Amino acid sequence: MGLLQLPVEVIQRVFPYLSLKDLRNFACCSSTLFKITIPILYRSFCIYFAEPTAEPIVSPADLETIIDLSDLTIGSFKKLYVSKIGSLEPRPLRPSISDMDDVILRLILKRFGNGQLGTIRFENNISSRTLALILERQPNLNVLEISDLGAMRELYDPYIFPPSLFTQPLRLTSFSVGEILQWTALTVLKIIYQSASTLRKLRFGDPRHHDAPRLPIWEETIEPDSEMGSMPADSYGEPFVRREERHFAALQSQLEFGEINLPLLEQLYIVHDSQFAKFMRFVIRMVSNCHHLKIVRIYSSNDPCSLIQHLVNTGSRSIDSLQIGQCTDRTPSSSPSPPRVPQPLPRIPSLKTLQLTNDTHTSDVFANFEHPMELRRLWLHCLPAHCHPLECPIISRVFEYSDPLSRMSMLHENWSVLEELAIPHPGWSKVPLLPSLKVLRLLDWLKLNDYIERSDRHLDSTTKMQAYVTRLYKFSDVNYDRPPELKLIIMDEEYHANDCYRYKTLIDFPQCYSVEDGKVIMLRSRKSALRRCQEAGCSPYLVLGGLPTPEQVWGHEDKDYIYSEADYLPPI
Amino acid sequence: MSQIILLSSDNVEMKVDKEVAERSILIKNMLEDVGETPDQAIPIPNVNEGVLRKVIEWCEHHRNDPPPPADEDSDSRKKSTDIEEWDQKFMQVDQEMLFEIILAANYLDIKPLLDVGCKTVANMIKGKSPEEIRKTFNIQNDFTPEEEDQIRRENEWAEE
Repeated sequence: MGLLQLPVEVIQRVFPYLSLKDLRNFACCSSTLFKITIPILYRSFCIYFAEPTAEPIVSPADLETIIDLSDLTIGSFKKLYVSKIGSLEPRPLRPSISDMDDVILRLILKRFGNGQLGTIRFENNISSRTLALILERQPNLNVLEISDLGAMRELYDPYIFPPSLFTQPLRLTSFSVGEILQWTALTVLKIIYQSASTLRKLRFGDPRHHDAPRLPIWEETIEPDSEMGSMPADSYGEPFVRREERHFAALQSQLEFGEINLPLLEQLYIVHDSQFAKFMRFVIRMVSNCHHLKIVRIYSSNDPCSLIQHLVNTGSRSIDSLQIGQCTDRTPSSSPSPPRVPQPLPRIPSLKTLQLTNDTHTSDVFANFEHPMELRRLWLHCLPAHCHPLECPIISRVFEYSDPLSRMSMLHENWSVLEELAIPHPGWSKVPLLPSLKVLRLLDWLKLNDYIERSDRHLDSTTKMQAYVTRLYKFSDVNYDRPPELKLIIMDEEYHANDCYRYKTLIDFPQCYSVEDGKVIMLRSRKSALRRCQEAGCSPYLVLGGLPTPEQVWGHEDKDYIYSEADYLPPI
Repeated sequence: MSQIILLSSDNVEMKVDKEVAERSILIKNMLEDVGETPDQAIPIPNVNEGVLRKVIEWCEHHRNDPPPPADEDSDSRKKSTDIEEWDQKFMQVDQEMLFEIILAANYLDIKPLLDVGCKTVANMIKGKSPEEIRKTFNIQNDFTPEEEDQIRRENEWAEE
């Protein structure tokens, strides 16, 4: 009886107790041990590259090393990442790869066995030839994250990747793609179509794009229309819509499918939709039967509500979390077209979490909501840069206590199941008295301090908070004959929301206060605040989360932001 | 205290308290299926007398331990190899016996014992060079010198 007579799964149980160095030495003992150890030792094959320079993406020496790797080693990788060094920084330039880089990357890709890789992430742009190689040789791929499709050469001399080049079904569960150009739209659509039966997560758009696109975007490249002459890029109105319809009819005629059913899709992210708004509307019109869609996040879109309306109309009836941010109507002021009427949010009975931030449409987004509101979690926030939070048409209506007909007033009758609420600090006298509320987050209190609570400015904020809590207890006791549910109050000095590239969720840890038997106690750490949340049976969303910033396309499963009912709420 | 009889692979019967035998999830499930305490010996076909006695000794000592926490993340790196004193002494056996115990713990589904066994093996690997590991476990090196050199060089890549 020796070590090698033990079953492999038993030997592998030893590995968690070893350091990587020990594992490495263990792997080098014999080919049998190497094969057992290597899947644990290596998880991903990473190629790091710097901002575009004259240097090739992989130095000749490194390339040689990679090409000469033993089959045993190279065959053990399941993930391939091509990552930019310091990719967390906003990039001044999109890292573009040269034709040489492109060839090198294909050489490296060919070293991997057919069907070997499960995850591929390309943080640089990827040529359609390289993409074709991946799709052809890696049929077991689950996760594909690519930045912009098309290498430099292809962008200016577009080589349209014919969708017919790949006909085999794909098994992607997660697909992310950066900026979508007219000549890559077919490919993107085809990939989605081929993985339709397995896709769970779909991300469009690259958060690191700046407002001014480097490349001609959709609208401008449409051939000049005799009726309209040259229209501004973002225009609406009849003739333009007709031309757009024509364009997509042409696109559709090249597709051998008219509808994409995504029965397993759970998460849909659209970032900077304004850059390829036409494409997005086109895609959403094709997509249907997303019965499992739970989380939708739309960031920087022209018309998020109509996208959501379409999803709901075609079968998305289980959305429980909706995050909409930075969705201004971007119609240029010079445009002659009349302003569009923003739609209200469609009624989504399953919705539990709603986050509206940064001057989302100022129309009555709640027009379709049932009375009383079914939401459990609400985060409303305006950017002070856009308007004063308390003068915001949405937010001010929330505090319209005097109007008994207002559906939005923060009265228990209207919001009977609301458990978590984040709003700009309206001053303690206006903070809603909701007995059902468990967590309350008040935003921008420092900034607003000058505007509010003038009469009792001499009191410190803890005293005012305590006075509010006492009032809430009294109110709840008199009206509902029970103590309120409030467990946690979070005070944000100022939300750093203006920064489009906010990569850290918690720039500063907001001050948290625990409410115990009507007494306010300051908490020392985020950990204790999280524990308090857990005890109260509510999500850590308000403690951890923030504004729905443009999600990084790459990596970091931002649990802080992504929030689904199922993830946190204890079963009822 | 009800007792049950276990029958080792070499046909030796051993009487143990039911509570002790139930440290093995395999036996526990078996007894639950049967419903009542069986009169006949339960055969443990994969474990011989010496090993079974050793396993029972461990179960006797740990009879009052709280049940192990529900399946924790097996991927969580990296775990501590600290072993309590009694277990350390218990594991001072020859390699043959050590692996037999690990195999029996795996078969009988006694997770805490399996963990102690794996920690013991991990401690035998820690800090050793490949050559020393080969010596320790009497592993045949089947790499050619060139292969071994390449493998070793390549694997300097593994990042901590």
